[in-house]
Parts: sequence; C-alpha cells; structure tokens
Amino acid sequence: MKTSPDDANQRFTVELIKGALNASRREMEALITRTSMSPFIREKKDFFTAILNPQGELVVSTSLTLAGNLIDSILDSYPLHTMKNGDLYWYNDPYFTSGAVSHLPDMVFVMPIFSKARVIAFVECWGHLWDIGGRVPGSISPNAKSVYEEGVMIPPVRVIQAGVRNEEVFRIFTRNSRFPEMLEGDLNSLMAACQLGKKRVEDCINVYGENNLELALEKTISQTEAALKSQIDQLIPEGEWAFRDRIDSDAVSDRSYYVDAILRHKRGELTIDFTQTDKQAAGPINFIMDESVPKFMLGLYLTHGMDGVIMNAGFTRALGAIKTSPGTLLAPNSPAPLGLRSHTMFRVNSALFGCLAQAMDGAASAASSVYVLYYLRGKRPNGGEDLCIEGLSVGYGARNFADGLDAVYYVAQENYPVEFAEMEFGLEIEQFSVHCDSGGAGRYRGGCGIMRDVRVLLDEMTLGIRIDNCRYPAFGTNGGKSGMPGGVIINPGTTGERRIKPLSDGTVVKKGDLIRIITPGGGGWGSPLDRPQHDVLDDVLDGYVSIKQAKNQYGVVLSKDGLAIDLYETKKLRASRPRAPEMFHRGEYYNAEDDRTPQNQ
Amino acid sequence: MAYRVAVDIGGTFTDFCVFDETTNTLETHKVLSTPGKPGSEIILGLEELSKRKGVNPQKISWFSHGTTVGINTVIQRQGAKLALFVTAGFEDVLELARLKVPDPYNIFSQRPQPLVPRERVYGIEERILLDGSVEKKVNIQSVKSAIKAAKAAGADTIVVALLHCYANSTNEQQVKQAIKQVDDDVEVTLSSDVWPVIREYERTVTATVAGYIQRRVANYLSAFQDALKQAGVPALPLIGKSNGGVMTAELGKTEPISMLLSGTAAGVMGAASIAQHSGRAEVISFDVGGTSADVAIIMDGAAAYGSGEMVGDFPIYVPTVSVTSIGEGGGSIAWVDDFGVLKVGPESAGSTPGPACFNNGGEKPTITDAFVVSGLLVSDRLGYGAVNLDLKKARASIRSLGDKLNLRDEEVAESIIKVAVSGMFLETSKLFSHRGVDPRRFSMVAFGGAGPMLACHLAKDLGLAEIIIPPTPGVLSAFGGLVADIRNDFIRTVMVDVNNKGLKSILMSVKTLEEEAASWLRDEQGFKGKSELLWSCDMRYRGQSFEIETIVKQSWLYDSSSEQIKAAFHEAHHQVYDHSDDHAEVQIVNLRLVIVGTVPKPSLPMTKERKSLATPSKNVKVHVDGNHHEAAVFDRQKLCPGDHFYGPAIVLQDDTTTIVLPKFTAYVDGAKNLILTANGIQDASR
Repeated sequence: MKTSPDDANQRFTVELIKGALNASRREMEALITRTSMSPFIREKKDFFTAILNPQGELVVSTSLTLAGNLIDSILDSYPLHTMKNGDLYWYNDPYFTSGAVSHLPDMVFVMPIFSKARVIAFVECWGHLWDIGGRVPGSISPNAKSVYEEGVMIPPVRVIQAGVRNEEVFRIFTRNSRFPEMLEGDLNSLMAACQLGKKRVEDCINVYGENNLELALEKTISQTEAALKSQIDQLIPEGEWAFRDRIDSDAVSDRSYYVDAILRHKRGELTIDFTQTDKQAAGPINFIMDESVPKFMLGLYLTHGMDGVIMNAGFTRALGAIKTSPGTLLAPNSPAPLGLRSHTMFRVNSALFGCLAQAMDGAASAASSVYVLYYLRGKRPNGGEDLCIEGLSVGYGARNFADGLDAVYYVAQENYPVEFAEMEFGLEIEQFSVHCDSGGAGRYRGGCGIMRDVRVLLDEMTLGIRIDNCRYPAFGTNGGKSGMPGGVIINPGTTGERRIKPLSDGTVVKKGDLIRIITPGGGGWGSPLDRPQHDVLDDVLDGYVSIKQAKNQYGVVLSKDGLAIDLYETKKLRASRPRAPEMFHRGEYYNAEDDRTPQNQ
Repeated sequence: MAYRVAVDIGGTFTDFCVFDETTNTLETHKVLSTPGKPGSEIILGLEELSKRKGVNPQKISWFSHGTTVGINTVIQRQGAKLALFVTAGFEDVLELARLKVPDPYNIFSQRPQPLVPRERVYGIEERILLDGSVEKKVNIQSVKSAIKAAKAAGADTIVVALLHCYANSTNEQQVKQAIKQVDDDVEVTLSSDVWPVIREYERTVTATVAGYIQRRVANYLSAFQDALKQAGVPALPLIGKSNGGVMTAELGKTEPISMLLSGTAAGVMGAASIAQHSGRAEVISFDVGGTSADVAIIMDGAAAYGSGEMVGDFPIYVPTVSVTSIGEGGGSIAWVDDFGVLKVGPESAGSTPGPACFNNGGEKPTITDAFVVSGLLVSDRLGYGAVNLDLKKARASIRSLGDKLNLRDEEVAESIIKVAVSGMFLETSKLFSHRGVDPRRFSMVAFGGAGPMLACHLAKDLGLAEIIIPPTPGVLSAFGGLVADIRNDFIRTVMVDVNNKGLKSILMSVKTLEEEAASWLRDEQGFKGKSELLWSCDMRYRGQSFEIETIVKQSWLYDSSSEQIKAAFHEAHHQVYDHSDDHAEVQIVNLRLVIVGTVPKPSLPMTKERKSLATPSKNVKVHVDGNHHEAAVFDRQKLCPGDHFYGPAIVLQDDTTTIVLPKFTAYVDGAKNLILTANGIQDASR
C-alpha cells in the first residue's frame, strides 16, 4: 500500500513522539524503583505509570490490565477549567471513583499537563503501599468484612495546588500508618515520578509542537483500536458464548462464588455481559471492575504478537459495552471489603478465556491459579514481633501453543531466598520443590505449583494463608485436564497430621510443627494423548510428572526406572483411550452451558 | 625500555593496542579473528606489528588480553555436561529461579532452558544452619549414589551448591573429596569457592555458569599462553576481568567466572581512563559496534558495578562493570511494519554479509547504509581498508523502503537514523533517572566502529554537555586492557547488627579477608608493586529486603567504630532515597574487600594547544535535518592540538568516521581527543 509523503512524514513524527512518551514513562518507572521504600513496590514491582489524553483515555502505560477510568472522578470534584499548572491530585478510594482503583493500598497520583493554559494531557502513576492503617499490619486481611477495616480512604484531593503542597493532608494520612517513614518515602517517590513525567511531556511539546503531540496521542490510540478490530474480524465469528468460573470461598463464609460472562459478537461489535455473576461476597474477594479490565484482557490476548500494538484506550474503543449488575461480585455496593480482589480478577480472565475457547475452536489458554500468600506472626524470645509475609508461586494455564509457566507469581515479584527467610524469621525451610503432577495434563501441560515445608522454631505462631483453586482447580481447555488443587497440611505423615482451610487466618502452630504448603497447578490444553511421548518422558526426568501419571494421564508407559519409553505398550494404551468428550475439564470433562444451570450453583 | 601490548579478540576483528615506553606513543593494529584456531590471530598480529612497526616481541613487558570465549560458550551452549549436587529437598532451585519470568507482562514468555537439566540435579543428605553449624553431616552414601547416577547420565563436571555453605564450606569440601575419591578426572566446582555469598539461587546459578565454561576457558587460555611463548614474549600473560581489572591467565583457568564480561568492561575502563586523563568527572561511555550499543555511566573515574548481569539467559552474581546493552548497531536492519511504520532492528546484518554498502552480499538497508546515502559516510578506508563503500548498493537498499513509504532516499535515510537514535535514547535516558543524575553535566566518550558516527545525534537528544572522541576510538577496549590494574574481589556474608558487639564478632572475618586478598596478590599474581585495599559493606536497615553497598574505612572495621559506619550508611541511604532514618537499627549483610595492585599507567604526552582554524581536505554534499549542506571533510591524523572547526563536518580515520552535526563545534585537545560541543569553542577548550 502506497502512502502520500505527508502521511509518511506524519506517521514518522507520530512514531518518534510515541517513542518519546514511552521513554518518559519508563523514566518514571526507573525513578520509582530507585526511590521507593516498600518491598511491594521495589521487589514485586507493584506499580503503574501512564500518560493519558485530556479526555482521560490511556495512551501509553505499564502493561498491567488494572487500569480503571482514572480521570473522571477527579473531574467530578475539580472540573478541567479549574485545574492549574502544577496541580497534583491524589486518591485511593475505590467506591468514590467507581473502581478507578480496585483496592485501598494502590495510591493514585495524577498531574495535568498544560500547553498555553489548556490541559493537553495527564501523567499518572500508582503504587501499592506497605501499610495504610486498617485492622492488620499490611492493611489487607482475609478476615475483613468491610472496606473500612482495610485502611484509610482518600477521595480525589488536590494535594499540590499550583505547585504548593498541602502538608496537613500528609500529616493526617501518615499518622494512620504503622510504618509512617516508609509510607512517606513511597508517597514522595510516586509524586516525584509524576513531576518527572510532566517535565518530559512538556519537553515533547517543545520539540515536536502541541499539534503534533495531540496528533500522536490520538494516533497511538486509534492504531491500537484498528489492530484489535481487525483481529476480532479475523478470529471471532458472529455468535454468543457463555462461561462461568468459580472462586473457592470468600474466607468469611464457606460458600463459593462465581463469575459469569457472556461474550457476544454481532455485526462487528463485541460485547460482554457479566450481569449473571454471583451476588457480592461478605469477605474481601469483591472486585469493582472497571470496563477497561475485561477489555484490556481481551485486547492484549487477541493482539499479542502483533508488532507495534500498544495496550491503551484503543482496546476500550474497539470493544462494545461491558455490563455488570450492582450488588454483584463485580459491582459491589459499599462497604463490601476488597482486599483480595485478585481472586476474582483471575476468574474474570479465565471466564473470558472460556468464552474465547468456545468461539475460536479451543484456541485460548486454559485457566491459571491465583498467587498464594502466607503470613506467620509470633513473638521472638527477646519479646520482639516476628512477621513473615511470603508470596508463593502457582502454575499458570497451558497455552494453545506452549506449556503453562511453572511456579510463577503474578507480576514480577521474586520470593525470599530460603537462606534469607531462615535468617529473618523464626523458621527453617526443609523443602522447596516443584509440586509434581500438579500441572493439568494436556497436549500442552499446565504449569506446576510448588511445595514448601516450613518448620516452626518459635514457641508459638499464628498462621494466615490465602490459597484459592482448591475446591475449584484451574480448568483445562480443548480436552486438557484441570490442574491439581493446593492445600495446607500441618505435620504431614505423622499422627498429628491435620489439614487447615486454604483461605483462613488465626491457626495456632507450635515449636517443632511442620507446615506443608502446596500450591495449585494450571490447567492443561489439548488432549494429553496428543502430547509427544518424548515430552512426557522429559517431564518425568525433570520431576514435573510421575511415572504413574505418565501412564494414567498421558497413556505413556515407561520402563521401571523411568528412563525409557515402552513404545509398544504406549501405542496400545493410547489407541485404547477414548477422546475427550467435551471442551473443558475440572475433575471431569464438562460442558460450559451445563455448568451454568441452576443446579450447578 | 619496552612495549606494553593489549589485545581484544572480538567476533570479527582482533584489536591490538601498543604503547611504546621509549617514545610515549600509541600504535594500533587490527587483524581478522580466528575463532577456529585460538591463539593464531595473536601470533599473526605480533608478526605484523614486528614487521610494520618494529615491535620486537622479546621487548614486550606487559601483555593483557580480553576474550569472549567464556560468554560465547554460554550463548552457543557449548560448555560442559553438568551435574548439580544440592541439599536434598531443594533440587528445583534453578527451575524455581526465585519465581522470575523473563517478561512477566508477556503471555508468550517462557523460561530459558537451564544449563543443567533437572534430571541431572541430585539431592545430598546434609544440612548446614544459618549460623554455620552442621545440623546434619554429609551422608556419604547419598553422594556415592549421586555420582553413580551423574556418571551414568554422562556428566563430566559436577557443581556443588549446598544451603548456607557461605557460612561454612565444610560440607561442600567433603562432597568434593568424596567425588574425587570415586573419580579423580571429573571436574568439581564448589559454590563456596566461586562466590560465597547468601541467597541460594543466585549463588547456585553463578556456580553453574562457572562449572559450565571452566574446561573450555582453561583450554583456550593454555593456547593463549603457548602462543605468547611461541612468539617469544617474556611478559606474564594477563587476562581481562569483568570488574575491569586483570589477573594472570593461569588463574583464569580456575576462576573463569570473573572474566566472562571482560570485553565490555575493558571498553568502559578505556573510556574512564580517557575521561580521567582529560579531567571529566561525569561521563557516559557509548560503544557502538555492528550489532549493539553498550552504554555505561562513569562517575569520578570509577565505573558503576553491578551484580546479576546477564550472560546469555543467565544472571551471574560476581562484581561486574555495569553495562547496558542496546540491540542497535551499525548493522541493524531497517524495515517497514504492517502499519506502514518504519522500524530499526533488532535484526542485524552483522559483519557477514554486513550492510548493503559493504557489497558483500547484504541487500537489506542498515543504519550504516542510511549514513552513506545521507552523504555522511564517505570514507573508503573503513576497517583499515578492509571494506570499500558502495553507494549504489546502499541507495538500492534504502530505495526498497522508500517505495513503501513513498519518500525520497535522503528522507528515508534521515528517518532511519532518527528512529535508531530514538531507540537508543529510550534505553539511555532511563539510566540517568535510575542513577538520579543530570545528563546536562555529562560528557560522552564515544567509541567502537559506529559510536563516533551516532554520537552527535544521541548527545543532542539527551542534552549532554559534550562529546569526547578518543584518538583511537576503534580499539578502546584493547586500550582499556593497557591501563588496567590487577584487581580482585572478596566477599564474606556476616549478618551482624552494627554495634560494638556485632563489629567485634566480625574482626576475624576482616582479618581473614585481608590475608586472603594479600596472598592472592602476592602469591598467586606474583605482584610486588603498590597495592590498595578498598573496603565496603552491604548494609540495610533491619527488616529491609535489599542492601546498599557502602564504602567504609579499614580503621572503622578494626576499631569497631559503629557510629562512623552507621553514619556512612545513613548518608548512602540518603543519597539513593533522599531520606534516611538515624534511629533505625543498621545491619551488615556482607563484608566486601577489593584489592588493587596498581600498575604504572602509560603516560600519554600532552601537547601544547595552538589555537587555529583547521583546513578541510575537501567539501562534500550531505543531507541533514531535511536540508542539503556542504560538509567539510578532515583527516584525523592531520589534526593538531588546538585545531577547531564547525559542523557539519566529517572526520576520517582508520578506525571510524566521526560525524559533526550542524551547530556543533569540534576542538582537538592536548591529548588529541576530539571534543564536540553544541555551545561553541569556549566550552570546548575548558
């Protein structure tokens, strides 16, 4: 396709500005990583930076599908014409902002950028703060029954007005934290990142001019929009597909919950209806879902591998309405608690994949398990507090082209090294290994979870734990099997062996007790009988699959020492096995529509 | 008097840098590398130097050498067949990799294949506790069955990495003895020898890389020693290290891990030396070759050190000069994507076939071709006459894109350069933010084949103060080996509170480290000159999950001066985070010691500057910033200290071509560096 010279020059300028905007955003990230204090931000990289257009549409950002409608709620209190150069706005209030932020620890900062007295863009960032008050250290607890127990809420406020900082607001806020110095360090870091981003975008205006910047902001969005639209046309036929996925419990009650999605493609428009999702939960798994969340999940998945597609509001524009009902898990009424909203967010993602799998002949990822955390609190012999918070990895869903990732946490977090954990906390770690056979069997295997044995060395400690996907393990797709559930066992293999609830807090453990934490695997994709037998042998040699399951799940018969394949027996066994009768699998093969009938709730 | 020689062996060329101590002059030379016959390029180079420049091999008193053999072994996966012995219960240490995924935001992301597959990892029944006490002695039977299985699986090298062995290496030593008793031929690498520091994944992966490359590097170094002997060079063969120093080649055979990234480190050290010599405190080095651009920040003559630098797919945790590598170089290929947008890289034409203008079979347009079409590359002497530039081929390659973009050749060429520079800007600008420093105070030392070609473009975007093009920009990595000191790092994990009691308890460790360092320099390096000890501690506030390396004085450690040590940490913390907490408890996690055997540096003469306007050898037409200009062409060799001229201009020399953009002023200083500034000659001659 030929283009006019002007058009080519314009595109070229747009590309340069796009590059400059991304450079600005990454500079903001570098500043946050350098100057922030809390391990959540530094180690887990739980933060986000973005540049938006004056309408509040996302243009470039961190590739995290957790961007709400960031600007509108600020405009409600501070209309555009009242904004001044140098203003900085701050909030963390999920209900007041209709889910622009989805739980309290994420602090959002926004600065308008001016050109000739007119707002031409916004820079934004948020980071997960360590402790903002609330019922427990770290602010998030599985036992929370109301958002008021989860920390201090800040509605949109103008914390810097035309360059002058409102110190009083900071004094009130930091007084509410158990770790005020760390909090202040992180707040300063995030605000400095906004200032830097603003400066860089202003540089851009100086170099390329206001008109070109506006053009670039718009083009960057419309390129993404066009890319996603063309993918939808190519990949998804017209029709309607529904899927329901489940969350084990909400910690407070013992009942399970479900997310329900209906994906419709009609006359080029793709819409998603979540209105039949379960009612809101008593415990903290509620998720105020902005429409951008499912849209970005779909957009990222459908455009992945396309060169030059940036995750932004183009996804929002390209997709049609997202419907939710008030009082449900995805649109809870205040003050439902929100701390563990990831459990529900992961199910939104897997429900969408479930719809896509039906729409695209199975060509969508199987389900992933949600990450695991455990807390051990105790008193040291010298009277000091001992608080251990460790994140543990799980197995991710197999993809329709590759195995699921083994042992991975959400985002970029690293765990504590064994040697460090032993040094820091009153415990000894006796095993840390891959949870064999936990990845769902399939043509592509689901990722495996892990197993961690922790010996208690202090006289007494209390254990809090959050593991989902035990009652409802991650489902398998297109004939793949579900992942294996996780669990927690105290003193396994002894007479005192006992299992505790995977989502619970307050379990007392004594000196010498062994806590075995087993995390769940991801679902498999495609029939296990189609997995090349050498891949199965490799998995056995590497400890991901046992000899027994190689035979039971994959129909691959190995020699007694597990080093060689019995070709004859394998061929015979595989030929005798029936093919998968349904698209999905969780413990047994099932049909997505049957799974949505009332008796299955 | 004698000669000092440094050699840098790269993928295509082997660079020689020779300092004649009699005349105080530098000579450079390049020959083609011979990866198939290691050592023969050195013999050839020495022969040519002897013939052409009269360098008598028997008068060479210093010979240092940087090589990529270690890193290539990892990247090309040509190392040993490994087995890994770990504490039972932790066999998945490499797979779990602290849960890291290369690109966590990418659903297509996959972990790399480890150097040792899980099936050759064996658990040993044993346990050391965090205080170094032995909870469980080594179960010899478990070692014996592991050896049997490892040998049956064909392993020729065994890496041993046990929990908490940094605190007590007894169990690792016992495992080694047991292995040697069964089979003396198998190589054994202990993690407590390689880098005895807390954090089991980091220590294990480092030891694994060390074991993987050991045999190949040792063989290579023997060939290197033989080559020097054959050529009659009396100097002790030295080898470059990732920390920017050198050590004897003999020691390199047992400590190959410390020389893996010596090539990029030597370039940075060369740049640091140039900067220091010309009195610049804040410098960024910019080294551009055919496939990548390497940048590093140098403050007060010292490079920044990093840990966890990537070697192929693996991080290694030994002190390494911190370099950011950008996948764009002179050979990077330009293309147009599905949306009609121009892109550059990451694919590169490399040295074969090379850019289209090399007329060596390459047809795709590269950054170099874009410079040729813009008229900015006019030399027919690239790479010491090894390459002739073919304008027609360059034009044809650029036109292939022009047809798609509907732009004229010159416009396409300029766009390619701008896109390439914006990619470099993206990676470089965040380095400054990451360090929290202001680029406007920085000088850029540009080198490598394509560095001086792209320097003005990038410096302009970054807003740097000035650019320094050293006299021999094409061989600066070799030059870095010429000015290197003998240097080694020592570490001990101590984990104590900073108070009188804690500091007293580490006195033994301080003394042991110092003795180890002294004996390394004296006995293993045979070094008799002046030496220096640099102490530092990895410190943190109690409860923090990360440490800051803080420089401390030796006397503070010996006198248990807790107040001074704390104050130093508070200050370091404040510098990084803009705040510190004077009341919080401070801990030392690791004790570090660097020993430097100071080697007398070649003294490059400073010539008196005689200010005058330089006369160009000719003028050529160039296309820059959307317009045609007349650019003056200068011969680098004919430029004298004090000469100045204005951009647009082109400076030719054997190594490389320097491009001076419009509005830049060029000035030759007393050390024959070419200084480019956008602000006029007053600044240039400061």
